[in-house]
Amino acid sequence: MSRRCLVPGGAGWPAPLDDLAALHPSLRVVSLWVEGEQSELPELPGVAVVGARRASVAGLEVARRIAGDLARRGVTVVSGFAEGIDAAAHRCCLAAGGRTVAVLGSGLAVPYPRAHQGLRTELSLRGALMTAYAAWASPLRWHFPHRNRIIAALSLAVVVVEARAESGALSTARWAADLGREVLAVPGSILGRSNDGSNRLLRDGARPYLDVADLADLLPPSDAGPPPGCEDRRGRSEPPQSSGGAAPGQGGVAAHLLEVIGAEPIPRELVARALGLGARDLAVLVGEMELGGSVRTLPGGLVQRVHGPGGTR
Amino acid sequence: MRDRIDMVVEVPRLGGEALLSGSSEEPTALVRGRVAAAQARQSERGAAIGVTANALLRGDQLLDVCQLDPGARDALTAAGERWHLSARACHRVLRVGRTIADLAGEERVGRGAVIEAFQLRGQAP
Repeated sequence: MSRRCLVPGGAGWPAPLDDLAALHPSLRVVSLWVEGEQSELPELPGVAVVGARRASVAGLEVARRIAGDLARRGVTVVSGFAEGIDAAAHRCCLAAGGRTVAVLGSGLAVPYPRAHQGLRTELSLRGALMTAYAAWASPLRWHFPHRNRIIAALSLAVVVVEARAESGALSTARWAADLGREVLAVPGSILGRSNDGSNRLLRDGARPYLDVADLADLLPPSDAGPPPGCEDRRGRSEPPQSSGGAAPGQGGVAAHLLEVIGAEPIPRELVARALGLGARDLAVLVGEMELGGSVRTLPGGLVQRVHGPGGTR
Repeated sequence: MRDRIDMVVEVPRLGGEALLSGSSEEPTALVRGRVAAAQARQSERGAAIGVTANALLRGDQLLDVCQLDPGARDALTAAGERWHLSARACHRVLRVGRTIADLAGEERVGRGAVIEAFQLRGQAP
């Protein structure tokens, strides 16, 4: 595995990072650790795709679509290697043959998040991992805002997908605005809270992202590549880790299902794929939950979360 | 009206991509075998009461034939109350549930089969 340390002005240093120092000298990034087999970094600035860690299936699908479209236009996808939206964006970009950069909030020797080791291998083969932290630095809470401004600096535009009001993706968006980068947000349902943050960005003047044409004025003209769907057809991000040998009880799957269904009704097939369930098992699970009153099925093969009287979660 | 329909299954449109990708679903022959076995089970069981298929079971025969376990009974009651199901609707669910259990080669109709039968009715009224 090849790791190297880049310094400002040195070989390979991504020039857009200097915009941070221009914003304020205290924001200067003094070194950048990079892991990647390819001698040349993916082209930067790229476009950042960021959002919720606990994303809904719909949100993941949106992230995949955006990343695939960017990849096919030859645009580097920048994200934060977190679970949920970030990982979906990295993955689908790679699946579509694109290049992607993951900016970490920890050192390169730290396997975090643990579930992403497969993605990590692929990223270091065909993209790059970057961090301002030394090899063994832990993913500490206050590293992430710092990481977010690196993501913003390395991007022409930041697209926020499904962010709650307290999501770190909003800090990436703020840094992007401060750096003069374009901020876009994917409009989401106003039921529930999972899109509160991204919708507020729209209210505050962010550009709505409806499709890749919304970035057209920022990107180099496209070679009109064919638009096949993302090959990464898995809804699930990683095979589920076996939870300590014990067979996952229905309680666990039910909780997972509630997590995966957002406020908007989503098709059963997406849910089945996300949970790795067959049609029968899904029918029994959804039936039980419908009986318990926590989900509802709708015409058109859709399922939706029912909000309890106490609020949205 | 809905009371008179046993199952509603929504089938999503397949994109050309999916058709060409040739995903390996179960071969029809295998399914046919399972169906034949379920039919044999039904006619064997029904022979005593002169009924050869679950679809022909009368309401009063259903409970005997289904041998609901306690979980299944609970699910049926709960669903009946929740969605104010008519007797006719409950009977249809039991017939479908009996068939699901037959397909799975199960002697009694369990909770899973009842719940699945409810799901197959289509979206809750």
